[in-house]
Formats: sequence, C-alpha cells, structure tokens
Amino acid sequence: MNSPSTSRTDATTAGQTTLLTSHKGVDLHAATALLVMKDRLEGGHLLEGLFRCEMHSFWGGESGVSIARLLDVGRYFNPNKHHYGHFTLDGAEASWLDRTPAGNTLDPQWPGSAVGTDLETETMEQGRLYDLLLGGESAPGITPVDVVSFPLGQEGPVLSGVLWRLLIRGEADTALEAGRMLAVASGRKEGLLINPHMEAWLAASR
Amino acid sequence: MAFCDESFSPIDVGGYDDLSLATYLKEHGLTLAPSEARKVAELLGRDPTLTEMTLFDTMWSEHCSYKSSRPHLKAHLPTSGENVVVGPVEDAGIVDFGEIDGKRYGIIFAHESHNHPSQVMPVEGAATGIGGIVRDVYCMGGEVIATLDPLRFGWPDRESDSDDEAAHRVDIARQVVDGIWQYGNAIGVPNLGGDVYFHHSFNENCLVNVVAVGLVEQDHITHSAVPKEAAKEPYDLILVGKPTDWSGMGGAAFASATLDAEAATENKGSVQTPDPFLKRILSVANREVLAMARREKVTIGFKDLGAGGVSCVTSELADAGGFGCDVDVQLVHQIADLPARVCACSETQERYGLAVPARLTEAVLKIYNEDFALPSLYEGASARRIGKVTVDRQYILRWGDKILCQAPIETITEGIRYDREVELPARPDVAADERLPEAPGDRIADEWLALMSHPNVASREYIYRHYDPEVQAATILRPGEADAGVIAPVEGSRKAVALSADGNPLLGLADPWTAGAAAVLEACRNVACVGGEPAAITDCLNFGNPEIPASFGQFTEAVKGVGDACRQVGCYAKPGAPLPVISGNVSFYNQSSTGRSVAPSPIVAVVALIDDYTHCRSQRFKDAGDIILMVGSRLPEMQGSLYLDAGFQAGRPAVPALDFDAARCEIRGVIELVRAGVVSAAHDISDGGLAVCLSEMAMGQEAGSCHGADIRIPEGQAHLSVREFLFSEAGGFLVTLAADDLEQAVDILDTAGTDWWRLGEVTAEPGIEVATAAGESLFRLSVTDMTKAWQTGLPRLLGGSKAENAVPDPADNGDEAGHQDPASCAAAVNLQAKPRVAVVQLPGVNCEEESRRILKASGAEAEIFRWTRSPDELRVFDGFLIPGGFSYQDRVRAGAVAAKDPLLRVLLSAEAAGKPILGICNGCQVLVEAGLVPGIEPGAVEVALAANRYPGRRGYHSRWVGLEAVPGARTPFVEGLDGTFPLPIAHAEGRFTHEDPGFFSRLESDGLVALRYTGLGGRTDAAAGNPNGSLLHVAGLTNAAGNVLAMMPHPERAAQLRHVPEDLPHAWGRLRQAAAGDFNLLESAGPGSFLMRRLVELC
Repeated sequence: MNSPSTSRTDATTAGQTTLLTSHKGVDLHAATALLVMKDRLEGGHLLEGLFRCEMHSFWGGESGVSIARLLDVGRYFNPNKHHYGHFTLDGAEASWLDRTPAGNTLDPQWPGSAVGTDLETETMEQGRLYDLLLGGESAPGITPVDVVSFPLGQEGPVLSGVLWRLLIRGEADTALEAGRMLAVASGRKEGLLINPHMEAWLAASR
Repeated sequence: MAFCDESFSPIDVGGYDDLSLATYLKEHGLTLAPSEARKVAELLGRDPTLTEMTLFDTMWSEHCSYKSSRPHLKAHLPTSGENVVVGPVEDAGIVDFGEIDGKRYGIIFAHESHNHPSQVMPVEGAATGIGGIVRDVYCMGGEVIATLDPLRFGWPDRESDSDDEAAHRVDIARQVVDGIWQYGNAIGVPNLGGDVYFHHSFNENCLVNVVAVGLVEQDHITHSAVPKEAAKEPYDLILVGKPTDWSGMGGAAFASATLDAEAATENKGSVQTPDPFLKRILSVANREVLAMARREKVTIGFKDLGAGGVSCVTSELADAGGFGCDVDVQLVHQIADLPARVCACSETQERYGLAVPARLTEAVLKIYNEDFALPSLYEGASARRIGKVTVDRQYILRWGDKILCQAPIETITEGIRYDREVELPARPDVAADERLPEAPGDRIADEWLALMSHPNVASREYIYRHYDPEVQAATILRPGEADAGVIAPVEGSRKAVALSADGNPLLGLADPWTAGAAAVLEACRNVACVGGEPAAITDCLNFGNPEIPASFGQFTEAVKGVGDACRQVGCYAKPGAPLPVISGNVSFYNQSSTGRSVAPSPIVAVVALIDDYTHCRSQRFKDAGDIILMVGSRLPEMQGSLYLDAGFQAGRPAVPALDFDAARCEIRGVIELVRAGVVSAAHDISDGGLAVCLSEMAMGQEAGSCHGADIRIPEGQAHLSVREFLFSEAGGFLVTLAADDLEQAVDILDTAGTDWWRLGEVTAEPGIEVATAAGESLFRLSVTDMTKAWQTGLPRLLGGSKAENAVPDPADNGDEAGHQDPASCAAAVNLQAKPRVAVVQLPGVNCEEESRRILKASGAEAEIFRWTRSPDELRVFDGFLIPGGFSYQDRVRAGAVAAKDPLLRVLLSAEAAGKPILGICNGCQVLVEAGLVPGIEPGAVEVALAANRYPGRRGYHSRWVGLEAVPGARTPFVEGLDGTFPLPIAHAEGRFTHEDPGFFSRLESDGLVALRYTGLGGRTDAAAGNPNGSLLHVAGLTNAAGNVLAMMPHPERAAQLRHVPEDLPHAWGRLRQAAAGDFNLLESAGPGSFLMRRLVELC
C-alpha cells in the first residue's frame, strides 16, 4: 500500500482545491443505488453503471484547509478503504458555498489538474486519475454523466459532498437529461441520489 | 493466485542469522522476534511456511497470548465464586442474575481495549473496538444490552506556545466519539456510560477501552468450543459474515508493539474496517440460528473472529473441545485474489465461526443466506462451510490439496510465556505531619469554581449526547444521571443491572497498586449509589512496554491492587468470598517511540445486581430540607488528586491509604440505604473530592433547576484544613434523605459499621454555603455560576466557541402551566378486537423488538415483518409501524433506499385505504422519502430530513425534548394530545427542511404539521426548543387524510413512566420522581404511550 504522503502535494492554490476519495473495494452505497435505480426507477434500464467519490473542496489557498490536513485527520480518508485524488482548478474563485447551484452545469474542467494520489503517479501525469477514481474509462456507446451534490447551507471552509458518475447508454445530450432524471429524487419511481429539498447539485456529461 | 503465492513457502529459519531473520520478518509484517521464529521451527520440527509463521505471529502476540502478564493475572486475581457461571476462559464471562418467572438468567460481561488502532485511525479504531467486544458477548448466546466506554485522551488544550499538536489531540477525541456513536448506535445497543480523562501522558497514545454487557438465559449459553457431541457425529465448521479482505492484517501484532509516530501511517493498514449494519443483521440472524439449534436439541460451538481470523477461530474452537480440524481456505468467501495467508489470518470484521452437526449445515446456511439474504445486502457476504471437525487433534489448514499449515493443534494454541524483569515503583516516605503550603483561605471558592470547568471535572454531556442510551427501551438511569448506568432488561421484572467503569490515571502515576485497588473500590461505590450489589468485575490493564522493568513493575503492582481489593471488598451476596474477575484484557506497549508511556491505567468495570429498580435514584438533590449525610472520612493525603493536578496545593503529599474494612462497610451501608428506599440522592466522592460531589448533586441536568446546600464541617473532621476537607479524594459518599427517614438511615449506617456525619441540608436557593465546625461562615458559591462553568468546559475544548455559546443558561423549573397532565395518558385501551399491526423490519432497523412489545401492551397483535417476506403478506395487516434504526445502512441517504423497497408499495396502498401508519425516526425518514408525508401529491418527495444543525457540534444527538401537538393538525393521531409532553430524540438526520423556507408555513396552515418541538421546563434556548434546526420546529408530519404520522422522536422509548428521567424539568419528570419505590406506577403509561396506543386504536 502506498503511503498517502508518497505523492501528495501540500501546495494550495488561489482557485479551487478538491479531494476525491473512492472505495478500493465495493462501494456499498453505489452498488445498492445501482440495483435500486436499475430495478425500480423509470429510466433505470439506461443505467449501465454507477460510481461514487466523496468530495471535499475548498477555495482560496491559505484561507482554506490543506489537503495534507484533510488526509491526516483521517476523517475523510481511510487507506484501508479508499483511494484518493487531489486536484486543483486555477481561476475557480467563486465558491459553491456562496450560491445554490440547483441543476446547473458542472464546469467541464472540474476538478482540474491532478496533483496528488495514493495510486500510481503515472495516472496523474496521464490525466487518467479522475476517471480511474470513477471506475475507469467507459465503454463505447456509454456516456458518463457526473453529478456533484452537496447539502445546502454548509458554512465552510470545506464543502463536502458526493460526486456520482452515472454510466448512461446513449449520446451526450440525451444521457445528461436521463442522468439528471435518475439522480434527482422526485417520486417513488423518479430519481434516488439527490433530495433537492436539502441538496444542491451540478451535472455534466463527459 | 493464492495457490502459488509465498504463503506456502517454507522459511529456512536456520539459514538466516538473527539480523537477516529479523529483516525477513519485518518485511513480511511480522513482529515475532528471531528467537521466537526459531522456536516455531523447533516446535514444528521443520521450517514453517509463511502462513504458519503468520499464524504464530498472531497467537504469540502479547494481545493474544498474554505471554508477559499471564502468571501475574493468575497469581493475583480471584476468578471463581458461587455466582460465576463462566469465568475468564472464553470470549466473555458470565455471572448469575437469578431466576425470573422460572428462567435462570446470566449477565455476560466482556472488556477490551482498542488503543493503538484508535490512535492512528480514531473513527475506525473506536468503532471496531465496539464491534469486537459485542461479538464476544453475542457468541456466548446472549443479547447485548449495554456498552460502556472508558476513554483516555491527550490534553485538549495547548500545553505551551510551541504546542502545535493540540488540534490533533482534539481531533482524536472527537473522532473516537464519532466512531463510538457511528457503530454503537447502529447496532441497537444502549450506551450506559464509561468515563473520560484527559492527561498529557495520553498525547501520543489514547486509550479506548470498551465494555459490553449481555443477558442470556443460562440454558441458552453457547460456548467457544466444538461440543463433545462431535465425537459421535460429524461436525462442520461454518464461517459467516463479511467477505475476507486485507483489513486488519496483523492487527494483534500491531497492538503488541510500541506505537511509533512515523509508523502510524503504515500501521493504518492494521486497523480493521467496521460495518455495524452487517453486524446488526448478523445479530438478528444468529438469534434465529441459535433458536433453531435449541429446537433441534443440538449443541453448537460459536465464536467470533478476531485476531488471527479464520486460522485462530478454527484452531481455538477445535482445541477447546478436545478435537482437531481440517479447514480449506479456498472455501472462505473473500474479495478477489487474496494470498492464502491473508485469507487465513486477516482480521476482517463482522464474522463468526460455528461448529454445527453436518446434518444441520444446510439449514444454518439457509437462515443466513436466504432468510436474511446476506449476499444481497452486502456484496460478498455469506455463510459458507469451510471445513470439518476431526478427532485426531491435528490442525490442518489447506488450499484445496495444498497444505498451508499442519501441526498438533495444541502447538498452535498453547502460546508462549515470558518471565519479565520487574522493577517496583518507589514509595517515598512522607512524614505524618508534612503538609504542602496553602494559598490564603479566601481563594478556596475561586479554586472550587475553577475545578468545575477543569477538563477532568466538566460535564461529559457534550460527549454522551452523541450516544444512544435508550434503544431497547429498558434503561432506568442514563449517563449523566447517576454514578452508574442502570438497565432493567427483563420485561415486567423489577430486577436490574447497574454498571460502572472506573480508573484514575493520576493515581496510577502516584502509585499503581493504589490505582488498581481504588479502581475496584470506586466502581463498587458507584454502583452502590444506585443500590447495586457488586457481583463481578472485569479489568483492562493499560500500560507501557513490558520489556522495560519499571513499566512492568507498574503493571504487576496494579494487578496486585485489583486482586487485593477484590478479596477485601468481597462479593456482596456472599460475605467473605472475593469479588470475582470474570473477564479482562491486558494492553501493553502504550508507549511512543519517544519513550513516553501512558499513565499506568488499570480500568475496572463492575456489574452489580439490583433486586428492585424502583429504588434507583438520580444523584441530584430532590427537595429543599433533605438532610445531607457524608459517609466515609476525609483524609489529609492529596497525592494523585485532581486538585493537585490542577495546580493547587494543600494536604499531605502522600497517596491516601486505602482502608478496605471501612470501604466495605460504607459500600454495604449505602446499598442498604438505597434498598430500604430512604435515599433521595446518592453520589460517591471521587475526582475533585467532596466539593465537586456536592456541586454535581446541586446542579441541574440540562439546565434544569438547581438546588443549593448549607453545610458545616463536622466536628469529627475539624482536624483537617478546609481544603483537605473539601478536596480530599479519599473515597466516600454523600447521600440525602427526608428528615422523616433519618432515624432509619442512622440505624442502617450504624449497623453497617460506617463512619458517617450529618453535613447539612439541601436548600431551594442555588448556592452552597460552607461553614466551619464552629458555625462560622467561610464562603458562599453560586450554583448557577458553577453550573455554567461545568457545562461549558468540554464544549469549549471540543467544539469551540460556537459550542460553548450554545450551552443554555441554568434555568428555573418553571411552573407546570401548559404541561400535559400525565393522568390524561393513563386511560386503558378499549378495543373490540386485537388489531394486527406489522412492525416492518427493514434491514438495519434496530427498534423493532421494543416497538412490538409496546404495541402488544397497547392491545395489538403485533408482529415483526421481515423484509424478505412477500409484500403480499403485508397487505393483511390493519396497521403499520416503521421503527427506528438505520435501514439499508442509510446508504445514499437516510431512508432513501428503503423508500424504494417493494414493501413501501404496500404501504402506499394501505395509506390510500385509510389504514394507520406510524413512522418513528428512521421510519419517519423512510415515509418522507417515499412521499407518504406530507403527501400533497402521494408518492412525491416533497420535503427532506437533513443532517442536524446545532451550534458547534455535528452528528448524532440524543436527548429528551419537549413536544406539542400543532393546533389544527388534521390527524387523529394527535387528537386529544393536550399540553406539552416530553419524548427522547436520537438521530443524526432529523432536520425537516425545504429549499423554500416558506413551504413549511403552508404545510402548517394546511394542517399537515402534526408535532413540533417546544422548550422543556424553564428552558427557552434554541436547543431546547429546536434540537436539530428543523424549520418551524417541526417534529412530525402527517398526510392529507391524517392516517400517516411520521415523527422523529421515539414514543416507544417513553411508553412507561419508568422510561422518564427523574430530573426532567416537566410534570412528567416530577411524577417520575414521586413514583420512586412504586413498581405499579413506574410500569404504567408514560408520555409516549398515547401515540403508540393511538396507532392501535386507529386500526
């Protein structure tokens, strides 16, 4: 097992800094949600896969909390269970804490450049780390739809939430709509992952 | 692949010199010394395989083999007695609880430490500590009825300007608490206490000890051994639970080495991964398996998997029964591609091993895999046959045809022994008349007030409010209410169990023998305060490196102290017989690489028996005019006291001598007082001495009303300085009683042979007035001020200024205007027929049993309906209760997955048909996510239950709150529910919310808000009126037809008067107080009965 410090970058930036963690083994939340969505939700037949990262994000360099501390306190990262990726996005000055983005489009550049991981460092250099944390590259004919969700009313400085990747059969434009419908819980047969009455979310097809 | 990995490779032990052998062992994660590795080869008569070496690494670890401690434990600790059903030879001890309705019960008791894991991975470490100890109790065949958590943390404040680690130490403390509630609350076991100390010696090594207590019918006890019947018929070995993975590999060895800060990160891999959801499912399924075995009249062996995993459980099960076994690791369910030795030795959590007759194997597998659907609930989880019992005393571990380990079984299990060098701690001579210089006397009141906010005195409420003390609905006294937790675990019986865990690290530093003995005495005093008769103890002995003679000397002295006290204080029911030690644990190497070891920390837990719980009282003053008696002399010796540790000076700088004879008489005297029903409050004198004891009795809990006291130093104690009298920690008690009971009390105390003094009286005014023996007033302290200091101490340190500021001001009880008249809830149910009510058991709920019990008492034919049954079978019921817990592990979000369960379709139909549905806590979350409430458009998700919002704290919150029915609510559930009434809450996500803040106003005007939070007593702060930040203080919603009620508070935990806390500032609390001693009244309806009964009435 790699030590979390082997390839960690403690530097902070003026933009947005994000820690993503994914499960090394089976992520029970994602596995259960996939079964429920496929079997019990309208549009579930379009869903080919579901992956999940826990997300912790902050803005503005030194005013935030360093990734090193997030890893060290152990609240966010358990080396027995998790892989992690540390990303920075330059120029992302506007914190999501300051607005309530319900259903808006996720910046296509998000979460930015990979600067640290417990996985092989080549994955950072090759720009594959983000996908690797979310189950790897998707098969032809499958569109990944990424949905970031987080509870409304968080005070910061760290914004914590969940990044879901829905693998939807179909092209990007239709997949994004299908993904939104499957993600946002509006009824017993409509949506599961987000309760819009307490969570904000951003979505994008990749 | 496993069949070609190095697990099978013989290690050429003879071919290595010591240095290269040490290197090889370290490279493979083994902590055996080279000499021990050679001993393994010698025992086997050949080179061991890497798997065998790994197995011996675990079995010979200090954690498993007690290789340093065993001779001393055997020499000093009494372990037998007439009341001992199972001594310290299995996973847990059992002590007799007596006969109730023709059944003989036992109390199971186990005690463990998870110190190293909690230091490097606090959440996981603390959680798996609970996970391990409750498995120890479950595998004795019983139900776990309580846990306790003695915790020791580093200093929570900066020790100097250059101290940058304070935040990390606070993180550890907070996360240990998180781990405890995240695991303990989910498995449905009440947390009844423990204790918490902060000290700089724990800066690099926190101590996380865990105690679990169980109840078992003695006819149902199972043993951690293959039964003797295996000699007559074939027995299989079954493994059930989580799929084996890498987690916890080398955990026992890790726990048996000095904690190196630099290695902390790499050791994180040795910390197991907990899963309380799976544990809960397994616990319920195990119950069915054991019941089936009883029906079939077969004996089974049952043992949990801990250190050493599959290899350890199979070898120990077989050896304990006098058998051998043949285990095929290839059959072990696992995550993909594990090396064979990992599969054999990993300490993956949430697993049990069973030895069952081969003819029952399929039936057992069916219960786990089909009836409880383990594989569908947790990927890779299942029950599997992994081997068989043999009669040849050989232990064979194989991968298909390939042998991993083959040896005489006793070779594996026997362990090794060390005769460690001992250097006894020095005891300095202190002249009899030597005294520390004291500050001017007028500072005493300031010192007293300062002590109240000291981290080791301040209220523990900030911590224990994270824990669920009331699940199972059997709790009589909760943390914070008395010196001991009390639970009455058998329905309809007066018999109860009192529990306490104690140990003083300051005394440990001063004198380890005294610390060991004093821990026993204090634990016994604590249970005596509630009338508990000490029946047995467990100990967890936490020390530094046993290879260092001075550290080992501290250990041997402490063990001796524990044993001496057990013999001297004795078993209450059998005068002259020692108090038996029925279980325990030794934790060494609590030492950092810098050489600093923890304060010697013998921690003792006691289980005590109570014949009649109705006499158990809270520790707070009840009525002005009550007489205060002090039992036990104050002494001038102050060494090891909190007063000195806080930086003040007084007294003789020596450890107080323990007078066992006096302590025994005092403990017995107080037990007799409580049993006679003459005590209105009792509290033991310990940390902070009489001053802190008196304060804690005067201060109101949760900002409830305060009392005061006028005390005068007794003539017989006038030889002491005022500081010695107030702050001496010599053991003793304060008890209060009504003046009419004084004569009887004096008779009891004199008969018991105690030294006692009349100290003064309880006053209505919240001030403590102290006078000399001559009656000269010394000073007066405001109880309101000390309450504020006491209650804000820990919130400030652990939660910051927001948490500190959120602590409410002490308040008056207020009048009872607007309170519900308790008599209005006592009406009998008048039903024509018994309606059938289903308690819907979704996977992970944990309140189904008490909900069924209360519904039955309310007139229903109540039945637990398991999720694996056909939804069609649910349609026939007349009403439905969705109980609390963690359905589907709260995956995705609380209630979200359950809301899509096919059973909910039935509930939607039932709602449309007008049948009543009550959702409580997690059941409320399910009904919200399923769109049954508010149900403006049935089935639509219209509101949310978000994470609690409370200043300066996060996570779970359990407390009693005030509630009221909302006028105009259009549901018959709350019709006739007049005035405010109290119920407990226990949740992490209970905040009713909506992105449009005005939405709930519309719900309220539409009559869909059924219940809301109100203040309790005189409390007007936000926390009392709204414990989780719900919009409009909403606590419960209904639907348009009014036949569905979704509420976060727990009425089933308040269905009887005995459930209500005595100190609750409400008419119900005062009724509870007045009912002391009256069994029939205490068993009668409580404030939650109305709603439970209404569900039945509406069917």
